[in-house]
Amino acid sequence: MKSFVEIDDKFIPAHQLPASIIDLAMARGINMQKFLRGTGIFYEDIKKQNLYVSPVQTLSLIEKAQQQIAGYDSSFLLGQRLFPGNYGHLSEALMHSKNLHDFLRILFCHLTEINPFIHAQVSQCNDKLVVQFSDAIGCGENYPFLLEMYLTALSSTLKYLAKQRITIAYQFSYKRPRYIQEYEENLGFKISFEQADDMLFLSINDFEISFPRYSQLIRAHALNKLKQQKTQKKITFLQAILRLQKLYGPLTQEEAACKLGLSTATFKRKLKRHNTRYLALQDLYHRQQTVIYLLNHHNNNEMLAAEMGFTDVANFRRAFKRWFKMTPSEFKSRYQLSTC
Amino acid sequence: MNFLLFQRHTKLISLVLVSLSVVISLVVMNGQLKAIETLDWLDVVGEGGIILMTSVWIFFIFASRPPGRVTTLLIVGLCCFLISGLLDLLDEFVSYPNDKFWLYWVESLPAFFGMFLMTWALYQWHQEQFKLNQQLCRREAFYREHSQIDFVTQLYRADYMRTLLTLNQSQNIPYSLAMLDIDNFAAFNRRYNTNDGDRLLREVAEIIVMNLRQNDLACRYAGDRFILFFPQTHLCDAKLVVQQITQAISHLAFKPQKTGKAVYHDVSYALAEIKQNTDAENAIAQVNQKLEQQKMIRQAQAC
Repeated sequence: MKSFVEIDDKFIPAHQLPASIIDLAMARGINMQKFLRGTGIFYEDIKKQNLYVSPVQTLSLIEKAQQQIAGYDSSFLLGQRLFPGNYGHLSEALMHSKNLHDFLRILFCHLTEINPFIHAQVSQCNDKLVVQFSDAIGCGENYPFLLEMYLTALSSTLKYLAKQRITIAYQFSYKRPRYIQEYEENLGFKISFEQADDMLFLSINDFEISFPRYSQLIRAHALNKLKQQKTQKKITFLQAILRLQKLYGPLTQEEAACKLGLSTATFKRKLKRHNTRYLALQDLYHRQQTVIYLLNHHNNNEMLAAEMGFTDVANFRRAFKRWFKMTPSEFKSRYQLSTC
Repeated sequence: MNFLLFQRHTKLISLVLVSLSVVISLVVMNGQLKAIETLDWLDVVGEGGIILMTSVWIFFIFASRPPGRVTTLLIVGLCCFLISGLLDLLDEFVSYPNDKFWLYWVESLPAFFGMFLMTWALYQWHQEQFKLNQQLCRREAFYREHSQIDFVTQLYRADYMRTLLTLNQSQNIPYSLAMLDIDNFAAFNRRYNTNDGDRLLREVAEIIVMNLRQNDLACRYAGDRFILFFPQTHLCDAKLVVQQITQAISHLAFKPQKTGKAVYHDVSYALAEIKQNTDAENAIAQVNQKLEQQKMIRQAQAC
């Protein structure tokens, strides 16, 4: 039995995200036959129960949505529609959670069920909760679209549940898009681009903001049902690798393959299928670690080197330059990490 | 592509088909086929190409214009042109009894007549376009770019406004900007459905346009936000217009499909007078900030 799901596995219920995409396309007057052509999904099949589609199919739907739906707002519109949505007991549990802290705990515990596309790495820095995002399945060029969608879903859900403003700050590694108005409208104005990583910041002081819809009984019931349903917690192939790195530190490709019970050749083939290379994942790991250390005010290079497991600073600087193409001090001055 | 307009052109389409078949049958009745070896293939290709392209033109006019005088003139003109072309092409294949046969000398007449009709049609089209432009004022400023029109509200999107503001900056024209935001639109969308939400946006857009002055412009900014442009206008004048708009919107008794009961909406707005030499991003950021501040204050009051 595999411990992870892959980009070709059919495990996404078609009545969730795929149905929302199709609905949006239809509302925008797009020909359904033309829209679904080549995706291997048939409109009639979705109406029937229990159709599952693969991430590849969902990604091809997203690609078509980007090509055929005019305007830039489709990812944001989808995000607004995603929740409460039809995620069954999970929707119910989230809807009736107690406060922000409770909501986030349930959400991150079950994130892969809602969202197998984007990995969220949660850490705490001083009085902030930091969530770092990365590609979880090989979304490739569709990654910004998906990120926009899920962040909009989160922010609109919190607006809906909390009945008061919860300030979320965002940083994105990519360039400021032309359709910045959609970011401002859906995510607020605390946004900066060309930063060290894709991440969001929540203040821990806000954790106690209570949700008026809180119902202890419904929440407990829904969580109980969730527990019964779940046979095995699904994580994606890339998430499995990221988790290994988190557990064991930077592993070599062979070690990682071995830990997952795969031969190196199979491992490499799977990585390629997920549009990535092992080196890219290692870089990602280092980048995320560095960002977290810097956020924790480990400002001088000696401390940073020690945290990252280097014994001497010169060695560390060399490695750092390889990962980021810049020195640690350039890195610190370029990105707004201490201001958050 | 959309072929819905074809159904409304049945008379014109049959006119074109009948006249073409009359021409072909006239030629077939009067002429005799030439031997294959004597054909001038270069002529055949050239004249065939003209026929093909003219047919494509006729097709697109049918596909894109509603019936009316200008359409009829264009189609009849092109059809005459097509008849000449067809006669020209067919006499590569057939020969007539003698050199002075009437089909020879009549050949170029329809083309001239057709060109005349089309020229007249173009003049009419020009006048029609001016009328249409007038209908579009307050929705469109100095240039036309159909790919930037928003699907839901049929207004232009934020990009268009940015281009316009940049142009204003280069020409040093002072202006005022306003940003309008429907209150609790997300809640409305959740409560009813997104189709109703889209319809509401469309109707609010109509109201905004109705209440603007002739030279102003409204664009959809993002989501439930609209951005309004008032050229060479002081803040107080712009404020008056915006207040009229918000009043009109608050009187809109919108009826969602599900309940049919009227739902009323309020809008928040912010205004900014933009000084000369401010770039588009900066100008938009100014109104956005003001709107944000207002919302914060309002929320603080509510608590």
